Amino acid sequence: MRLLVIAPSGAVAAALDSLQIRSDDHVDVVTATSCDAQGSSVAQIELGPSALPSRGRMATALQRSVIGRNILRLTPLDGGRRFAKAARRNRDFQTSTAEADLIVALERDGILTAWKALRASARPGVRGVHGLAPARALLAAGR
Amino acid sequence: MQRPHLLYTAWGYPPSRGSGVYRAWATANAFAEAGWRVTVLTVPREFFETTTGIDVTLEAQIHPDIRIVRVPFESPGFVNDLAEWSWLRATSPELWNGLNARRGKRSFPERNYGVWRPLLEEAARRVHKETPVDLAIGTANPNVDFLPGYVLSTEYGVPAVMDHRDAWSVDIYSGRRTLEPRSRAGRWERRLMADAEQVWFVNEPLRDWHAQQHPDLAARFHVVENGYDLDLDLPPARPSSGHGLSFGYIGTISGAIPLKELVDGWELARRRDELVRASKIDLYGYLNHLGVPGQNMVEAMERFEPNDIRYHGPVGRAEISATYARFDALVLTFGSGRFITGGKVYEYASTGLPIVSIHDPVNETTRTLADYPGWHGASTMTADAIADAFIATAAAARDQTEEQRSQARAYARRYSRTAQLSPRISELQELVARRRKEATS
Repeated sequence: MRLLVIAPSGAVAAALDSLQIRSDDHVDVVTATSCDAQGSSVAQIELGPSALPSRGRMATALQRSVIGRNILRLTPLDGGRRFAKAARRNRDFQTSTAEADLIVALERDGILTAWKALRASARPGVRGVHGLAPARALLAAGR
Repeated sequence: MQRPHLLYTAWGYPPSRGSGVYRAWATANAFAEAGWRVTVLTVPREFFETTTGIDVTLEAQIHPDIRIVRVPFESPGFVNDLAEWSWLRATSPELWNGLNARRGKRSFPERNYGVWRPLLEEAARRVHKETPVDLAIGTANPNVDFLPGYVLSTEYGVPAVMDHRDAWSVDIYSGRRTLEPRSRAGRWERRLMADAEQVWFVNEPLRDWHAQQHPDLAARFHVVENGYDLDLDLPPARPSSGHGLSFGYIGTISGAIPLKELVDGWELARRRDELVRASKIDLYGYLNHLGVPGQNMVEAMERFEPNDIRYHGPVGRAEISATYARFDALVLTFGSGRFITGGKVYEYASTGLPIVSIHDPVNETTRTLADYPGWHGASTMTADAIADAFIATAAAARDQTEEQRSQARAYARRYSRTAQLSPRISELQELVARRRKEATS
């Protein structure tokens, strides 16, 4: 099975362990700058620092309140939007999206990217989920 | 006397791996072991497979006589299939959650769970018609779990018990009121408590807070602390090798845990103390309740490797003893709040291992563990105080003898689940017998 795991932080090693990835599976991990997972069936797609949440003055100020955080979510400064924008421009990500059987958003800032990838995919039977538990259930069901 | 029939409602029941599930599992089992006929109302098994995740090892330990009735539950908040998500939800999950909460509270004022009310009430009536219920207990949260008891009490006179466990109207972390008494939810809580025979809380501060809010109902409020369920099979204390120690943590690693402070304090302790420098921390448990780490967790985890901290993922119930057996000392950490005890405290104490507390000293846990041999709590949540606590605990772990460990285990026996539940079960058994006698005379 081909998995596209979207985790901006790259902290996915424990998650992949709990998914019990097999040697005939292939996992593409999409991160901003680094990834802690290793193994012959795991490949990393690094989108670069532009995919990280904005640390600018405006974003920092908005982060300080609940209303501010909600407003931030609707602006291009939002971490999820920045990650999705960087992913859209990445050719490896586009290729991986087209081939994936299961798209998994592991972190909040990966949701929009996963949602868009799912909608863009023309692969029959492709599924997309948020979180580890549904991914685990779908993997188990698909085997 | 014919076996009394308990209807026990727990949204989170095995195989759910949610943090409150042990109390539900243990309470239903305790009644079954005491000779009661027990029917549990809960959600379909498949639901947990795709949301909280499952722990089949705990499910295997459900008392064989317990009958489980699975009541369908569908709530948009739990849909994690991205194909069903709207643009708004994908773009701004927080905003969508807020809007969805308003829609979901129509039948019962509880976000994400209120939608369960009609099906749950119908199931309770059906069970009672099939086999008359003598006692109904609901365990929260979610608070919708109290509805079957309320319905059977008001319609059929069945005594109801609310296992309020945490709280509905007070935030156990901040201590702030979350419900106004005149709000719809506030009025519901009052109505449920006024109808209940008993209301249980997990610690004294929570019971006292509710007694202050409802002085006329205070006599029915009781403390039923959490407890440990099984005597762990642990090896004897290891003789000091002079090498590093293994500090262990087992539990859900939620966003409320002060991970940053923990790493700061640990880092400082390693600079100050040779033994801690040679030691490591092993963390076991789920990341957050839905397996998705929060930003604070992600940032703290980036500092794990250089500080010899390892996250190993969840551990099943059947592997608990073997996992504890690898540790020399335990790290107890959770969010701040005077109402917080934390369920894992009791299991930790049952091991007899030294415990370091990395939480606000105001937490109720500080009182619970104050006299436990080998306990060292951070006096404040500064790196300095946390480092001191780690260093003291490392020394205690290095020097602990088998005799000292046995003494600590003996001290912790007061925290067994049986010790907590037995008095309440006996009392309720008498209540049911009295009610039956009154009904026939």
